[in-house]
Amino acid sequence: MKNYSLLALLPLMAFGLALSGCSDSDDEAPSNPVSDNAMSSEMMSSSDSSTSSSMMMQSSYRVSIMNFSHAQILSPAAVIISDGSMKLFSIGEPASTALEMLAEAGMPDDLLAMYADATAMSTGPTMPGMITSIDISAPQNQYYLTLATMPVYTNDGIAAVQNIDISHLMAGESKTIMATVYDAGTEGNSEALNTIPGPDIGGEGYNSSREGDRNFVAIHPGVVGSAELGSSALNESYRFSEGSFQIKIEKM
Amino acid sequence: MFSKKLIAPLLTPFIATAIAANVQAAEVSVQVTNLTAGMYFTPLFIAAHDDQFKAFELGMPASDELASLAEMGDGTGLSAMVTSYGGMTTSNNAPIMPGQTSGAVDFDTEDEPYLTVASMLLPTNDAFFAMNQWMIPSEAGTYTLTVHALDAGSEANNEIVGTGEPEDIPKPMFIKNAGSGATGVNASAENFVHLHRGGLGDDDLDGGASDLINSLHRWVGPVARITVVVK
Repeated sequence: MKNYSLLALLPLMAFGLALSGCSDSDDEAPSNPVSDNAMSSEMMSSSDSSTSSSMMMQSSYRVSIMNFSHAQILSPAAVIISDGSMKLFSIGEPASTALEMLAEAGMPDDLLAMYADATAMSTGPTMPGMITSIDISAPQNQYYLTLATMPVYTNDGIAAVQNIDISHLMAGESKTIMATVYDAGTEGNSEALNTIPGPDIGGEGYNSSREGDRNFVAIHPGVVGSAELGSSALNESYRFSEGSFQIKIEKM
Repeated sequence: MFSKKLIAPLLTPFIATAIAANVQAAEVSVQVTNLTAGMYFTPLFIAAHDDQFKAFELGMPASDELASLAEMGDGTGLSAMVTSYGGMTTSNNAPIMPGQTSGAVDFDTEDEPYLTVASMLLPTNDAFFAMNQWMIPSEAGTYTLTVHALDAGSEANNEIVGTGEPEDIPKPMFIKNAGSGATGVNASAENFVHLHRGGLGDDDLDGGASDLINSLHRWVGPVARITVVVK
């Protein structure tokens, strides 16, 4: 009898968890309308974008993510060319759940889904000293580049550029900019084993809780490392600097 | 403005003043400001050259010549390379103290199209900064670039100073602010040129893991301002 009742409870428990997950995100009022919009526009996107792209001339770009840190791995990146009307995040404001997914787990898919009316693609990860390039075409009336990726040996870091105007680039020209590293503010920077998703550390990625977290986006304070932070599982080699992560945009 | 080739990844270029004038052979003047609070720069390596010479490529291993500059402040290997390709080199022949600006180095670059400036940061194992294969503008004017510290990747950042061992940090007379007796930071050579992650240091001048000072031998953002006057 006991066995049966336990089995019967399992689906209910799962359902209950899913429900509580929903109500959690409902509490976060600022992120909710955004994800609603993303859903509705996502459903329309296929017909929408095909119509506009056939009528509008396309521009092609090669976007390169350059990892010039010693040991940080960059997660798959969200690469977006849009009309500049949306932002991934704003300094001082709470991160969206989609941004949190990237910043804590290195997963850009939810962020990309927010940009249904833009050209949005993901890349593979970028190892230290390596360059990952992606070719991307966008309608000529959309010329703002947004890119975000997670340095995976952080709790909730994002290396990003937002709404960079690339309209002045002529064919064959390129521009290189340093990504700023932001802190999503959705997880404490304990640097502890099991709180960081990077390989060899192997810890937790996404965690929806923001209890006790700063809960606004700011510039990342950097990796402190185990020499000075008791809870840190990261040695000093995981530290990064301004300029460690650079983005090159080349007009094809 | 600069064409795309002038915008090297690490440089934040802007033109302070620019007077229109078309020149082929360029007389330039080079001056470097040390923007840091506690790092010393070794005497500048300054070279005019063509595209056969490039001091380094980000993400690639350092040459032995670059490693000599980054580990010992010794630019003679790089100079020999430049000379072998028909270019020429010069130097300010003096270290640049924290917060100080070098004297202006006048340099006739003749018809060489590129300028490279590089120097080692002390006390570090293999940190350097560089203006790497910068195309000399055809417009006369004053060009200012700020550059970040790079790590040559050729030596582990063990942060041991002044032992005389080749894998440690040299301590010329002008270094006034490093500790001694450190056991060494547990680090390994990175094997490719990349953005330097900064000194680590500790608060123990007579021991600890590092001979660097954790409140002094660090930096955020660029470390050097390079001013080139094209005459």
